Amino acid sequence: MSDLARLTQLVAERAAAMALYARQWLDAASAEDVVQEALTALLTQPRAPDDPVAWTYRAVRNAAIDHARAASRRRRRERIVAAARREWFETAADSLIDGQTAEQALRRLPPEHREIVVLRIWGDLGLAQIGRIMHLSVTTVHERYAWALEQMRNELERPCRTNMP
Amino acid sequence: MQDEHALTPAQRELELALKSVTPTAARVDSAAAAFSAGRRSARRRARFWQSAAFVLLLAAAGSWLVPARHIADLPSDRSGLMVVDAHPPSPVRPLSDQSLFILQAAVREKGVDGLPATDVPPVYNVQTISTF
Repeated sequence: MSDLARLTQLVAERAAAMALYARQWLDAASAEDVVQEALTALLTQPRAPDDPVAWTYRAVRNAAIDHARAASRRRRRERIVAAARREWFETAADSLIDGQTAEQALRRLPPEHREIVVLRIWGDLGLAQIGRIMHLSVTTVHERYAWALEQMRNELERPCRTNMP
Repeated sequence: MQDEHALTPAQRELELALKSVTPTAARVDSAAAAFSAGRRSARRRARFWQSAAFVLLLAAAGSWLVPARHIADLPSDRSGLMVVDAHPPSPVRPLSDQSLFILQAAVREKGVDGLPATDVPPVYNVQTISTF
């Protein structure tokens, strides 16, 4: 398999997780655009990066932040989000947790913690890779990850409020 | 790994539960990405050659302009200039007897008789009858 085909497959296999990561800043359509741009940028590299997966996640992160900063794009994004909102997760019968519940719990986390959870769980990256992407030490990543999991667990275990008298 | 050992069983359980949830599928057009990447790299290569050509053009224009400026810098009024020939005058060689000027002068003074004798071999009158 050629180098280009290998890199393309590598990203295509992780496209959903990368789009989920980009959605921390963007809507579904823009997130897909950003992943596509990151793949193009990866294929344009004269030499394949040492860690192509982490490199692409970082490219997705930078592009997503740039997109989110652009005022015109933000307006467009708001229109698209208003028109068609897509969930972060697919609903599947064999899931141990409901997709919407997971999304809500994630949304309640501070952005920098949520980012780590997404990269660790759905991006399947190591703490060192996450640290390189976010410019953080491994210890900081680990502490934030553990804290975020604890917060989510508390959130999910909280009993549902009912209007019973 | 540090993260694997530091998590509590409850956190690990939650990790597994979260992993069972699949993110919404995203479409990535591999062919379009490869095409865009190819076009981008071709554009970069073209830009390199354009830059090289521009630099060469600048160098050529510079090399043409520099001597022109050098000549333009020379003083236009050259009346004050004095040309000095440093070479010693070459000795005047005497004209030979066969030179055109000597021969012309001899003819002017003495007529054809003034011309110097030639070393032409004698010409014999050959009759055709004697050959046969």
